[in-house]
Amino acid sequence: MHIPDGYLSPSTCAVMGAAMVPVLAVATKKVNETFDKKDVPTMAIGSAFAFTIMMFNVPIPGGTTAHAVGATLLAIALGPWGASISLTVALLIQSLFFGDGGILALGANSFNMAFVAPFVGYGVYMLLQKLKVGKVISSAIGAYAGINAAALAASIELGLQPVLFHTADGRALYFPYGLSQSIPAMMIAHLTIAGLVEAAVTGLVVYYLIKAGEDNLLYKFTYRLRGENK
Amino acid sequence: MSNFIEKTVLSIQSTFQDMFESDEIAIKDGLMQSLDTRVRLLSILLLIVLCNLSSSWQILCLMVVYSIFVAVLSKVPIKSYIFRVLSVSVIFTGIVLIPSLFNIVKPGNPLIYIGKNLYITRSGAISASIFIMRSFVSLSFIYILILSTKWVEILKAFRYFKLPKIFSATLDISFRYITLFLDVTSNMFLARKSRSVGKSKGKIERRFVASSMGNLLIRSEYLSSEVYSAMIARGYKGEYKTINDFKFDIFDAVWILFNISFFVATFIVKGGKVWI
Repeated sequence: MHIPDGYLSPSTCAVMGAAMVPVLAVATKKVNETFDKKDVPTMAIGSAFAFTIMMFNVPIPGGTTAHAVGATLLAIALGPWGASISLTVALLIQSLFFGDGGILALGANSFNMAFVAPFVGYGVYMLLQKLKVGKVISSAIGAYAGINAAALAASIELGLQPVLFHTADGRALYFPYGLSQSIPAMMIAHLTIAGLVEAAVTGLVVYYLIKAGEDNLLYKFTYRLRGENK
Repeated sequence: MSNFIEKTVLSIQSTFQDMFESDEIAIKDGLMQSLDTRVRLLSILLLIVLCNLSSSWQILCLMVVYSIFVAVLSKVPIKSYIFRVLSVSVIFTGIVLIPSLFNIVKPGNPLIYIGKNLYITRSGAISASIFIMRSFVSLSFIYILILSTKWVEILKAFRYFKLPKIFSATLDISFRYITLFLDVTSNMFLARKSRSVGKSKGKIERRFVASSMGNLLIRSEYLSSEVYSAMIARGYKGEYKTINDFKFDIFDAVWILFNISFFVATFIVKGGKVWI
């Protein structure tokens, strides 16, 4: 889902980047409030974790492998605001040091994967928790919803390119496929394989943590966000 | 043997190799290496913005040549550089663009007939080639930057640009721990590989991947409190200070002037209608 450079017009990149500024500003404030002074090391280790798990190859039926993003997992562990910062930093490292995902497209990529994905995932997770659904199932469904929302956002950004940016004779200047082509192409891949991988991995990690008796870890940092005492 | 284990271990190894390689190339005596890191970072970003704004194929062709030229002068190993840039910009992007060439996706004037009612359109072919060139130039400049600069230097330059503390400090610390986590992950996967005989079921493999992630999460939580205590022990009070030793010299000035005149010249040649 990492959009490379050249796919989006610079003005789209600028708009998406500008959209991330208030998100990150609020996130910085929230994180400063909730983490005391522990914010910097926790966020740093969080983004190192996010970066590393994106490199894990997950075997899928058919003999190939896929990757998980881990946005919802991180949102459950660090809270959605903390996850937003950690994921943005992880994406920045990926694009700047590995050429994975564009530098100009960083705003769009972080909007999709560091804002839409953790917030939708966390929202769905919290909703299911209120409905007394188990933690494993809630986190899996949350992750499925989160990754698909992010994919939808990415496909809309891409699909708008030929509508907004074309020459006088209708030739596309950037990504050439419209919404009617980009949305189904992205969503079929994510509703099936990528979404299920993300859901299975997130659910299994939560299952593992519960089994290992370490599930407190998932909520340790977010107690203040939920208005609870230590 | 288990494919996913090898893939993960290999991709981690190639990450380490990249880090090592960029350190080696960064100490060579090349064009990029002679510039101040801040100038390097900003000029690369600006070049990428310019190439993304341009929609003229002549300018993009010129920029492709220019980027290769800069790579050669910066003593970047050309073979691996070209391979890496091409694999994303031509192979990946090329596959994505194939349907857009045909009239069934977007009608246009015929260029090459494949079947009776199926042909490659002129506009599709022009769009696709511009797209690929743009992608090539963007990636190419990024690789030149990361290969010719020590990563620590790039992080230093970031600090200079006064990003909010939570970002620059987070970036700085997280970068150090990525190396550690990658090593831990690689060891976990290798340990698994050395213990397994024959084929295992997909379900069990997925469970292994998830438990290693869970385990890494437990370790990271432990590590973050350790790191925090270590920072406190060194006098951390919520402020993150660093030392900068950047120097702007004549090379930087020449480089900036050259680039400005280069683009002004192309701008004038194209009658001022190149960008946007």
